[in-house]
Amino acid sequence: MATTTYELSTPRRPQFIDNLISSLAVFFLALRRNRAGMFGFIGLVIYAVWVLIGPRFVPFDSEVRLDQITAPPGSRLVLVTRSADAGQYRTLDDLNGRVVGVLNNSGGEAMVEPYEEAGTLEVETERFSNGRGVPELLESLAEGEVDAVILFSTSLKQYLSDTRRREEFADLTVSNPELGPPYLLGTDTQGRDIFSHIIHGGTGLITTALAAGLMSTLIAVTLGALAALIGGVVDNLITAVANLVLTIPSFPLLVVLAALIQLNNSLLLALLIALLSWPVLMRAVRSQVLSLRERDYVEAAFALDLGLPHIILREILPNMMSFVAINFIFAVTKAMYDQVGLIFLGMVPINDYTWGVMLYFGRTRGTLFSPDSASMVLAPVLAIALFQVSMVLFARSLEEMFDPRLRTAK
Amino acid sequence: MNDVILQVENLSIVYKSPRGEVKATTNVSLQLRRGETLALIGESGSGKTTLSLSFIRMLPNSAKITQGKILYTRDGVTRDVLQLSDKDIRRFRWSDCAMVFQGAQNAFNPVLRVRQQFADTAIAHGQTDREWIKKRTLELFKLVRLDPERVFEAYPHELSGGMRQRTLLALGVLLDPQIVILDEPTTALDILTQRAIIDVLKEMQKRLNFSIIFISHDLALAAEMADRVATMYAGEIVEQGTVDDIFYRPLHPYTLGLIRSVPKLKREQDELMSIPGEPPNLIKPPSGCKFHPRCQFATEKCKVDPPMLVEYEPGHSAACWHTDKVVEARAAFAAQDKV
Amino acid sequence: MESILKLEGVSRSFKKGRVNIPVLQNVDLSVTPLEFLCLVGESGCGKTTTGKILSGLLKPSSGRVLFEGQDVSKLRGEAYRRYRRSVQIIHQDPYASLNPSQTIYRILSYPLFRHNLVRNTAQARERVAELLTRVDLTPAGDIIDKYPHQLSGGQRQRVSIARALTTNPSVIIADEAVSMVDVSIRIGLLNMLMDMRTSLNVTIVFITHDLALAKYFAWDGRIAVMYLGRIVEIGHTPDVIGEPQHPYTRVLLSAIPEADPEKTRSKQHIALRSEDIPRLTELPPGCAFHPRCPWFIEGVCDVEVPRLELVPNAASDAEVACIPLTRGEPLTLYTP
Repeated sequence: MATTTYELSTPRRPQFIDNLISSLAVFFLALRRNRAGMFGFIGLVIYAVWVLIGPRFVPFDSEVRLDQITAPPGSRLVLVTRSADAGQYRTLDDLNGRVVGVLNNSGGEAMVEPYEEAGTLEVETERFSNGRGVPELLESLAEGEVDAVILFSTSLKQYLSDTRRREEFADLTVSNPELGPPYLLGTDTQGRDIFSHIIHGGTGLITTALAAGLMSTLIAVTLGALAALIGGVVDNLITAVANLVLTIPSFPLLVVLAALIQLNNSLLLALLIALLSWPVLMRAVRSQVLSLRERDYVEAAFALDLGLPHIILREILPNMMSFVAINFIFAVTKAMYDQVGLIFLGMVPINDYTWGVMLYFGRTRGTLFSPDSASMVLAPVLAIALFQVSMVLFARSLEEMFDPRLRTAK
Repeated sequence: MNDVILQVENLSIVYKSPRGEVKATTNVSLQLRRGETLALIGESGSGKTTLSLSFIRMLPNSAKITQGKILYTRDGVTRDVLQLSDKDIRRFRWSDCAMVFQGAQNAFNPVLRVRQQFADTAIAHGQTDREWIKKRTLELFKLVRLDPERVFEAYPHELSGGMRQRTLLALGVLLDPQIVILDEPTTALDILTQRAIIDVLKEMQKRLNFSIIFISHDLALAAEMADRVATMYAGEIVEQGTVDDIFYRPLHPYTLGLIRSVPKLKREQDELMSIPGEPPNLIKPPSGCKFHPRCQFATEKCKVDPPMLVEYEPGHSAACWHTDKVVEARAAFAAQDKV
Repeated sequence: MESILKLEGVSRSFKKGRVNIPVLQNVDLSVTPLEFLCLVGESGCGKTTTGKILSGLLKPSSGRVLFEGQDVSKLRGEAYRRYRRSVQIIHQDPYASLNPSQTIYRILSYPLFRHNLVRNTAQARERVAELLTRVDLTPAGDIIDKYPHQLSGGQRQRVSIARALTTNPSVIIADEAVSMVDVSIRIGLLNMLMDMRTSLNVTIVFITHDLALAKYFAWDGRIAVMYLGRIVEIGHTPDVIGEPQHPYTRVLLSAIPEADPEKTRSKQHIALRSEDIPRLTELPPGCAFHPRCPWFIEGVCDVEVPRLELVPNAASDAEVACIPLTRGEPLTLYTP
């Protein structure tokens, strides 16, 4: 054999980087064409940031404030004074050397604490019990025992409109309606900020859903590929098991299993969900692989004796990636529903304060029955729903993206 | 019977693709007479399919006709197909000019019986007399050698591939068009099925007297059926003439190459030549004569100057600067063959 | 000379639901080393299935496949792997035969690495470039890192051929390898395949429905004509094409349109008695061709299945599966 030198340039980058770059290019090109997919993608990016970074910036509000129970979005602490003082006393600094009245176990209490410690304010605390305490505070204000009172806006409205005491409180006015920061989403049944709960409540759910989706997809792809490529007894066995699992209604079974097993570990929950949802994907993967198996290049790989692992991993799977990716996304959405469903029904021990848990408490504590408190249920519902919508829109755009018609654009 | 019923003048079609503008056809001019069969021979990238689609104005949305006319004459009235209104073009399609697509054996709706599809087609193009449709359909089935009653009532999947092909041919001539366009009618068909289709086509044409344009890369089909042949390369007509002109006296190197690359069934071994190179890139076509990168007779002039179609004999024209070299090569082959 | 591949009494059927479709019936075929053999026939004749059984991608339902004299189903370990490497295929569709997600380099280097024919990337790239040059894909540097969709149909077929060559096979089965390629390029590809016999010592079995192409390819070799799962005529190409004997072969040759107007328009076509091709599930008794055969003899052709035998006193040395012919009787047109 003559030694000839072939003029080859060594490739600039390894193949998989090339693949990645061109896939990304096709991806963004397709997104540009598909509005819905673009929304989905942006939605997912927002959720990713929210779930990963949000919790660092927004602390979880665990402080119980008895006077701020189930407050509607936008409510905040206000400063009440006698009308004469309204112009003078606006902020807590204005009240230097004065006496301020607050309720026990309330947001006002927390607010004046630093001032009290520093000695700039004297604080009178009224005990709060069953809605009492607010009129007492207002009375002390009206009678001059305290110079200002910090109250939560809804309780204030409630009391000032109480006809019995309207004349008594006629002299009182809100000098600063914006003393405290607004509660963007209102407060829950313990007076805690729902917004912070929403920020923190996604991580657990999303990670579990992702884990469940991943496990489900892995099981389905492996079993589907093996069933299709090996065939025979193996195929029959796997298909039989899949059919068996399919005939069992998965959610009721999940409920029963949840009742029987201690699902403390969210990974365990993810596994359980995965174990009940793999059959559908497995059948789809199996038929995909069955058809891919007939492709000429797969046949050539058999003829060249490239080996079963190579054929699955290098010949068949890469040509199924789009299919697997889309089904992975759907598996995650299903896992999300399953989880939330279980939590909502109270079938799962509550460790983390997730959106699902908020739904559970929202239901059990009757927050759905009042427009003010509905935020405790609606906010998580919206958070979950928007997540699902983003996933689904994104998955649909992936479908379009992997359409071979678009491939020729390379 | 020598009237020209279709005249294409300087037709140029481009279309947008993600990679750039594809010049599918450039300055194509043709004529078709009544009862005549014209073969458009070309390979991938020749523009022949785009051209045929333009005749019935079924180009994809990304295509644009940048210049040219398609003049159609019926009963003494000539109109430009490209200027027809939407209503008129629907009348034109199928009743004046029908097209049978390639691999169209799956063109039938699997849930409708054959007779329903024939009726639907006829009605869609303006013919509403069901009695007439039925009578005509059965007649046509006899003509294409199908069992009329059986096929009339059948579902498409009950017919074999060859039978479906013939049914499709019958559908094509249902409304008595003047022109039938066939796109690769015999490609990938078995020998005996091909033979049946060719015979059926010949008979139909004799009986119904329509003109045929067929688009193919199959030279044997052209030799069997065509009266005139035009060879296309890179969106242009490079040679046209009678079937004898093209097969026995080719003037363009591409035509010569094509003819010499088809094995013949004679009793001796063939001396065949293949055309080197790859099909042309229609987005950035070669300069000058588009065939020059693959032509054994190419000179500097060919790289720069695109040749025009020149008539060398009555009715026989070619676009090449060196037809004399082709004639020489032809003679050399002929001598070789005789030996 | 001992055959390199041999089919002995090979039959193959497929199950479709509850129906058994006999695609091949009792086929005997012997491939001599370094010969050009063509399998010709129309769709449904079983030539593709024969090709797959020859290449070991399909197992016969009954009968034996022998490679270099040994029963393939009994090979194990290294012997089996050697057989597997020695027989390769080339497919028909250039658009489906290469994995779209792999570069040409990957496609050609996987087998090299798998069979330890190269030790590192540098060697692999060198060998791949060599293979590409051998199939006239030059300069190799232009092609080696491209993806299949960036190449034309003809170029892809060449890559398929290069891939088949990676394991240094002794037999290549080419299944309609040029049918989907432009006419002007076909001959170039075919010439290249034919050249590999002398330059690489490869035996080629070419499967096609185009008799003219078969003739060109196998002029120095043999043609086997197949019909409905059986070989009906097999012999040296000049004999089969020049002096066709089996009725089916005669009908085929008379029906082929040719690229020569005078010749093809004056050709006499032999008419078949019936246009209908029998289904494989309802094969006629005796000779499968008899319902359509113009020279059908009642009581003879519809009773016994004919076997491939020589015709006495014939100019041609081809073996024919036709009872009247092999009995030495002249063919007479059937009159009902």
